[in-house]
Order: sequence, then structure tokens, then C-alpha cells
Amino acid sequence: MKIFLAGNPNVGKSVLFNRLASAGNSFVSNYPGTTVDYFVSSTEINGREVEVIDLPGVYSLEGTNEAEEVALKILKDCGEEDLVINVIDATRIRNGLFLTLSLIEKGYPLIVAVNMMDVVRKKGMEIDLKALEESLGVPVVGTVAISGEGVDELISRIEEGKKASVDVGDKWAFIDRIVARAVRHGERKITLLDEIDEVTLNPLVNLAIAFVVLYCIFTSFLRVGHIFLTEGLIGKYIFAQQTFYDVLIHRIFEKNTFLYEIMVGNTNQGYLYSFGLLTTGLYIALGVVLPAIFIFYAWLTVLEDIGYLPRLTLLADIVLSKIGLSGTAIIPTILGMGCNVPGMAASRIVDSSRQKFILANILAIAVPCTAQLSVALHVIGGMFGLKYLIFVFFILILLYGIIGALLDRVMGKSSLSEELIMEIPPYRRPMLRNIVKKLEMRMRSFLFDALPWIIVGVLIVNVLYQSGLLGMIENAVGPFLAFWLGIPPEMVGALIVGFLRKDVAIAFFSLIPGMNAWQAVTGVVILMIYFPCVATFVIMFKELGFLNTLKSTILMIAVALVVGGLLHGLSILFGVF
Amino acid sequence: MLTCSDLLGEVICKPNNLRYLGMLRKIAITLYSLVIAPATMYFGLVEILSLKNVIEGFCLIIIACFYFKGLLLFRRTEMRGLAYITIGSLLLWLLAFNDLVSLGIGIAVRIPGLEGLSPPILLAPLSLILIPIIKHGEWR
Repeated sequence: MKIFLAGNPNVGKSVLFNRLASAGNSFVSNYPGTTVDYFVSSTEINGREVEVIDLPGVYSLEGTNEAEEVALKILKDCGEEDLVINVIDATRIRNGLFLTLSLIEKGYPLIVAVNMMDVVRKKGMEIDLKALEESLGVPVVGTVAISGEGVDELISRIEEGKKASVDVGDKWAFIDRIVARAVRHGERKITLLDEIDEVTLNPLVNLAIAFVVLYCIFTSFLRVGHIFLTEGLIGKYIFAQQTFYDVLIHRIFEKNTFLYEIMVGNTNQGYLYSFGLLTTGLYIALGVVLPAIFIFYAWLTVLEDIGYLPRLTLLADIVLSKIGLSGTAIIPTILGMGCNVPGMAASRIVDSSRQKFILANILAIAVPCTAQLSVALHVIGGMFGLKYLIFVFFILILLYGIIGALLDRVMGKSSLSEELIMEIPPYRRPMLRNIVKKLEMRMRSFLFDALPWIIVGVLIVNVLYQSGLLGMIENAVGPFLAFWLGIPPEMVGALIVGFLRKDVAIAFFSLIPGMNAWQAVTGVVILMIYFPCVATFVIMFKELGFLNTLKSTILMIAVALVVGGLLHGLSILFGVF
Repeated sequence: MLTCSDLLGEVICKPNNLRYLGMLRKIAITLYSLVIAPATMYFGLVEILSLKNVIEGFCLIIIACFYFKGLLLFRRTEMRGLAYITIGSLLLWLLAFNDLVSLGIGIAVRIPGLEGLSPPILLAPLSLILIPIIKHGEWR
């Protein structure tokens, strides 16, 4: 048996999914469009093997956008003995019922879960579930998915799910009749949270809040992630000379052997400079990137669950509309700052393919992930000082605007209105369980998806170096790099590894002798913009298709050459270094 | 058997007492904001002018602005004013929590006798008074 969870965006489908499928692995966040794809989990309900499928949030079944197309495609698998649980937000019941009637029209066996009943009670509303059930002709259960209220009843009534035999006719007229019969509006008492909701819709208030929140993220990233965890703890007590780990790997691998060079390398100057798999490879992944990713995602998860991100879209819309994007593009941008892969996947949240193309390109070019930033902080910050990293940031922000504006102009204005239309969810208290689960999933995803690539990246550098191949490539490409970009020929290795992992590529800088700060800045900027890492590229290809990915690749290389050339030109013009 | 809390509830629920309690709450919030807003502004300015932690200084000034705006609105539209004051307090707690986590690592402003404690950490306990006031008010 299959159970499909269908409903509008941000009604709590994913929370219910995680409740129904005990091993559910669906992301739950307090903004519409969290589930851009679908999630499947197998479980046992009422003694039966059941496959629970969490569909992306949709408002209708007309296939007018990507989420609806995905939902329609999956719902085609809904057979006679399967069931659709239609989750409705009790506070926005009219919108929810439109989808319910669409499901009834299509003849799916149905149960309706009227979710967020606690909010309805707080608002002084009353929903007569019995009347709703009679009007719709299918079982209706009231739930509070977040606390689990009503979920047992929903499970116990799964067998009652059936096709409705009501004549819908004009949907909105039908909905009006149902609402008139089943919903009672009591006297609404405005609470402090309602007022805070209202106040934070003001862009100026939002800007002030965003300033403080971003400062907190930045300082904890720097103080807790970098200074405390990376340098003070992991880089001091694990990945350092004379630690237990150091003694152990030096005992296992015999010095001056090929295996030793590959696995350990020369650790005299520190673990970042040895380029061994067990030294630099693991130190970059676990010592430098993991703490930074943990800090970033801890903040992001809390902000997501509170419901702050959709409010940020209102503020972002003012700026992003200038480059042809709606404010919703800020969500993939923020996710991309954690890791470009989920950021690229979330680019579906924007309204049109035109916006998606612009967003995907600026994500790949101008949004560095936490892994890149943490290693850049370690290497560039450590070698030349934090101000050079701030300069890199400045260039990337400039590129975000310029590339966006250029693409917006080149692609022409859309014939459709691209004004921001987004439901702003109410603020909610974040659930510790959900935060921990999401953090765990995100960290696991990093460890399984990124760690192998980091190891492969370090291995390639090491093999190229040991075999002398790197020197040959340097001799062939180096003169062009030096002439056009003003960077040392030794950076070829970093550019090669950059196709796999940017963090390893930036770490490679520590091996380049005699590099000055301007060359390091130019090198980091080129590395960040010339091509996304392989994992992001795969998602980009999936989202944009062959032709658009080809266009994007040409654009990225062109931008890297132009920006690199400009930086080199500036250094000659102003005699920097 | 009547408990203390029952007795307290009975006393509070008398219409006259409820009115006095409301007034008391208003006075408490006004006084609280009158103390914390200038203090936050002062610490913010000190941080900016001493160039020790300029960005945190701006953050404190933003928080002070929330308190001042809340205070202004509180007289006319109680709930709106309280919303601004609450946002200010939440941001202050956020800064304080952040500084607490990185206490000893960060670059806290040196205050004689209280070395290592940054302004948000010093101000946050003062703002905790808001929690019981909101909790026992009719604003929930």
C-alpha cells in the first residue's frame, strides 16, 4: 500500500510524514517550498507494509509549475488500494479545500487531515470536522502534527479512506458553502506574537534584525568554529604533531615509502601543508570544514524553523528585483552558503525558468560555500590576514549583482508578472528534536557526499605532485596564467583539483612558495567563480538541462577570465605588491 | 484546601486589583525600557568610539532603537510597543548568548572589574525581567 501526503506548501506535510514514517527523512522547515522534491519511506501501519510518500507542496493539480508537475507524476502511481492523505492548514482552510476538491475530482481515495488545530483554537476559531466530513464525503481528522495530536486517530482511520462521490461543480462556490457550514469565527484576540509577526513585515525592521543576526552568525563562525573548534581544539589536540593520532599514523606507515608520502606526507610544517590523505585530507574535512558547516547549519536550522527566512525574502525582494529575481531567491542563496548542492536544488523555489537560470548562475559564480570559506579563512586569513578575505567577499557580492543584472538584461524581461507572491508563515517555536534531526542529516550528508571528494582531491594533488605530472602541466599552462591572470604557474594544481573540491584547491595554496597577497586574492576569486564543484555541477545539469548548463559553463569560464584579467590589470595599474 | 496560588489568583482576579496589576505592569515595562534603552545605547557608542568592536556596537544601537521605538509606541498602542521591546530583548539575548558561547575566545570590551564580560552579557540579565512580565500579562 502507498500513502501519498498532498497539500499546500507549508501546511505540515513533512512533519506528518516524519510522524507516520518513523524513519522518515523529510526536511521540515517553516517556509513554503521546503520539499522541492518528494521523499519516500517504508514503514508498518496497522500491521501492513506501507510506503509513505511526501509530495512537494502544491495549490492545485493543473501542472502550472514544477512542483505540481512532480506531484501529478507521482500521483499517477496511486492505485485502487492506495490512499492520499490531504493535509490542510486549518487556519487557511479555503486554500486547502481547493486542492481537496481537485483530488476528489481526479477520483483519488482520500482522507483529509485538518492540521494546526491548536493554532485555530488559539485564534478563537472553531472547525466542525463532522460537518466537513459530511460535506466532502471522505473521512476528516483534526491534527496537530507538531505535537502528535490526532495522528493516532488518523492512523486508525486509514482503512476508511475512500473516493468521494460529491458533485463539486463550481469549486469556489462549493468551498464557500462548506466554510459557511463548518467554520465558526470567534472573537479574535490579537496576541503579542501576532504583533511581532506584523512588525517584522516592515523591511526596515527586517534589515535591522538581519544585521544583528548576520553579525551573530559571522562571529560564531569565526570565534566558535574557527578559533575555538578548528584552531583551539581539533587542530591542537588531534591533527597536530605529537598528538596520539600523529604518533599512531607515524607508527603505522613507514617513513620514506610511497605509501607514507601518499597517506601522511611531510607534517613538519603542519597538517595543512603535508597533503597526505590521513593528514591534510582528514584535517580539511573534519577539522576545518566540519566545524564551520556545523555552526552555519545550526544557525540556519533555527532561523528556518522559527520562520524568519520568509520574512527575509520581503527585504531581499527590494534588492533582488533589480536583477530579475524575486525575494524567494534569497533562500537558495543562504542554503548555498552552507553547501552549493542544496542551494542549487532549492533553486526550484523561484517562479520561472528564466529566474532559475539567473539564480543557478549566480549561485555557481558568486556564492561561496562554507567549505570554501572556512579553508580560505584558514589559509588566506592565516597567511595574509582577514582583510584580504573581506576583499574577496566584496568582489563576490559585486559579481552577484553584476552577473544578475547582465543576465536579466540579456534574457529580456519576462512576459509574466514576476512580483513576489509568497505566503508568510507565522512564527513558531523551533522543536529541538527537529533541529537536531536536521543538523544530523545535514552533517551526515556532508560526510558522505563531500568527504570522498576531498580525499580524492588530495589524492590527485599528491599523485600529480609525486609523479612529476604537475610540473609538466605547470610548464604548459603556467605562462598563460602568469601573463593573463598574474598568478603563479603552481596554481595549476589548485585549478585542476577545484573541479572536484574548492576547499582542497584553496588548501593547495599553502604549498605555493613566494605567493603574494594579491595573487592569493586573485587565485581564490578565480577558483570560486570558474566552475562549481563536481557535485554542484551534477545538480546544475539536472536542473538546467544540457544546453543551459553549456551556456552556464561558458559564462563561468568567461567571467573568471575577465575578472582575473581585471584584477591583474589593477595590480599592474596601481602597482599593488 | 486553598493553596497560596489559589489565594493569589483570587486576589488578582478582583476587577480593581486586575486594573492595578495592569498599571503596575505598564509602569514596570516603562521603567525597564527607560533603564535598558539608554544603557544599551551607551554601550553601543562606547564600542564604536573605542573601535574595539564596531559592528557589535552598531548591533547594540539597533537594539536600543527598538527599545526607544517600543517605549514611544507603548503609551499609545500598548501591544505594538511591547512587540518592539520584545524584539529588542530577543536580539539582545541572541548577542549575549553568542558572546557567552565564545566567552574567553572573543574580544569582549574591557570593563573595569568585569573583564571578559561583553556589554550584551552584562545587559541580558537585566532584560530577563521581561519574561515574567509578558508571561503573566494578557498579551500572550
